[in-house]
Amino acid sequence: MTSDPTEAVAAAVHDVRGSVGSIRLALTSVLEEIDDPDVEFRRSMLAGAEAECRRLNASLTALPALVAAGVDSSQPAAADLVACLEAAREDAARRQVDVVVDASGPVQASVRSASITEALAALCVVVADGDGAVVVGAREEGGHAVVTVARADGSAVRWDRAVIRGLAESLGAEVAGGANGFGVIFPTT
Amino acid sequence: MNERIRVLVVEDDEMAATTVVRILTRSGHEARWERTCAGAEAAAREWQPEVILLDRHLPDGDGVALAKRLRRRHPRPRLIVMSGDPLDAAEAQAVDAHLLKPATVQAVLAAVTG
Repeated sequence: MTSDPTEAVAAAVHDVRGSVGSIRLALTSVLEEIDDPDVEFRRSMLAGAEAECRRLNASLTALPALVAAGVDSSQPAAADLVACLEAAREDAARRQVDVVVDASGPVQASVRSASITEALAALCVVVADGDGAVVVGAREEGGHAVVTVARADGSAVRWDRAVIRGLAESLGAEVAGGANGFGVIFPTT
Repeated sequence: MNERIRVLVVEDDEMAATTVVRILTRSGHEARWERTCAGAEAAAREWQPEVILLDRHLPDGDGVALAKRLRRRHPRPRLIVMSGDPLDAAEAQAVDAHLLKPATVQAVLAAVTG
């Protein structure tokens, strides 16, 4: 696990470059054959570029939170993850991302309170990818506190993206992938 | 149409890989995608591509290090690395071509056809 903000940002930049690379390839392939009658090819390339634009925007939106979490030097303290998720839901709503908090009761974890809300909201923005709602939960499991993150429509989440790992690790947590989402595993108090 | 070339695309990002494979296929080449170094090494052995197009950052290793291993075992394929940063002199010597991201479709096709 790394909590080096420089490494986390460099890894996130790799993600961003991947998106920019895909967009440029798609656009130049269409421009190259602009007069080609194969409409389906052009449509698929442009649809791919549009999806990458959304993903790129989500990654860039998360970068300030990644940096903030990485340089947050406050001491971890006990906090209720459910309350943190509610605050993150409000933060994400300001970015026009719908988040459903599916959790009850306090779930105590050791977190850095200065950056946790922004980082959880950023995770939701990345998972939403500019298209659709996100469902988050919190529970205690195996001596840890786990925040679960999934898309509301049940579609797959690329949880191994550097920006997701970077956000979690900058918070002192780890990521574990599941079938349709992922868990962010925090130490308990 | 140009000569049909068998191209192995090694890329961890599905969208990027799909785009490259689609472009190569449309240009008359045969393309196959692998996500990891391990998958690439198996495909190089079994499928015997003529060109291997590698991303620099892969989930289980570095694309240039993979290129060096592939070169030792499979002298024939043309090895092309795509990366966001320039390669240093030693890294550049290990591959046949380097594409700086974001690349254009013309650059990718020119590198593949050599």
